[in-house]
Amino acid sequence: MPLGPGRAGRGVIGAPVAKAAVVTAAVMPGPSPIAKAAVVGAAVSPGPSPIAKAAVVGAAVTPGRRRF
Amino acid sequence: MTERSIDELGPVDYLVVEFPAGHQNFTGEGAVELVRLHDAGIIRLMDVLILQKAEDGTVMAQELGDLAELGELARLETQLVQTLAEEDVANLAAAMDPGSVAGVLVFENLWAAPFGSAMRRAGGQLIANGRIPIQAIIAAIEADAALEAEGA
Repeated sequence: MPLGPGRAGRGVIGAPVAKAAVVTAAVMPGPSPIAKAAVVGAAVSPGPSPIAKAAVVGAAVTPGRRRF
Repeated sequence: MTERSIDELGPVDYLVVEFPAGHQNFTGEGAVELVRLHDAGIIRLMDVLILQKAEDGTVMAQELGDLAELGELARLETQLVQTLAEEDVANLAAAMDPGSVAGVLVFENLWAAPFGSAMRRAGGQLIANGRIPIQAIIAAIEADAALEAEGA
């Protein structure tokens, strides 16, 4: 279905969007209703931005106590 | 929307929420929550597209107004500003699996606008931002607990 004339013109996304891959990686069993996952994202910035496009790798685990 | 200068705009984000084939349970609950965020002034919903990706990879895009049952979203539909262009559809649909349906949302983070303006007036520039998945935080907490249990 073609979109209307209001959708003509320059886009704002700039490049194909990469799907964020969700990989199940349970660390400990627990009652959390939220799936425990290591998430690898791919940030996409629009257009010829002066900001570097970065690949973001989640779930870096470092020892030590943290407060959330 | 009342007149505001570009400097007063909050950061604009987009989300692509995919509903895989066979896992589409649309009850209207998501629309209610989206309207609630908009009404509370936390976000300003700017644009919505509904994308359907066929098994052969072709993509059909629909406007919110093309849907038969808009429910709570009906009164926001007239306030949308068509931020996305047709050429954005292919870029966004690249993340979708064949057979899936996705909702694309573009929204201004109103809650962040005054703070962002203040930072710009102070000479600050946003040089990086991102989102930490809640799953990563849970994994980090649990890894800490595991290390503690081991006596580390």
